[in-house]
Amino acid sequence: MKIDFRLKEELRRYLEKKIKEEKEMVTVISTYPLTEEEINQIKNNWPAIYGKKIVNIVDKKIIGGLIIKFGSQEIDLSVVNQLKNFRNLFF
Amino acid sequence: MESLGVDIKLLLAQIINFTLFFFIFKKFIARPFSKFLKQEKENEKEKNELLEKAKKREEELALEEKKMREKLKKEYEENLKQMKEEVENLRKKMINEAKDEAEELKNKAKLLIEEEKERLNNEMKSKIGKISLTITEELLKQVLDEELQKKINQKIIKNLTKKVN
Repeated sequence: MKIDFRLKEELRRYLEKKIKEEKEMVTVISTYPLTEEEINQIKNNWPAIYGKKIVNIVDKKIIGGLIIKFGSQEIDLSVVNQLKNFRNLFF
Repeated sequence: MESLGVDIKLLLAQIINFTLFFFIFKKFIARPFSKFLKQEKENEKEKNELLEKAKKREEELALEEKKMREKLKKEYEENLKQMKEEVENLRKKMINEAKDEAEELKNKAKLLIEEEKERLNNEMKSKIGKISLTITEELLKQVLDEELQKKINQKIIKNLTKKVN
């Protein structure tokens, strides 16, 4: 099946844009909406994300703690993850 | 002679008569009778000899029979002994085989029980783990209020530098 050249080009441009956006954006998942102060503290403690746009997503399923996603990196500091690690350690 | 009352003619006739009688008796009666007696004696002797031989042979046969019987008895006893030994060996062999088989079955059963035990143990551990985790999650959901969560987040943020490096 041949894909139209223009369509391919558009798709490429869209993906590049998305990747650029992802690179410029940091997602922080928490159980409650983070305050401005907390967000600034996160930025200060991780210089690589300083100046990037931070999006806060509230998810009660993580029970507590934070999950920070930046580009291809993901730092899972949630209570659920800690419990999972704990279970894997014993069982 | 005549005065003695002996008649010569009569005497002669009697002598001739006696002689004739003697010859005839000897030839036709005494000899066959003697021969018959002799024959009878020989027959008797032969009969006795045969009887003796037969007796001897009978004794020999009896002895041989006895020997044969003894030999057969001995052979029978030996065969019986051998058979008994063989039966005993076979019995022992069968018992040993049965014992080995039983031991093997026992070991297999033991192994299966151990495997099953291990499996159940693991399954139980896994279930306990899952249940514990669920209970812990539920408890944490109830215990962790916003204030506590904020404290946790503060701690995480403080240690973030270590985590990212």
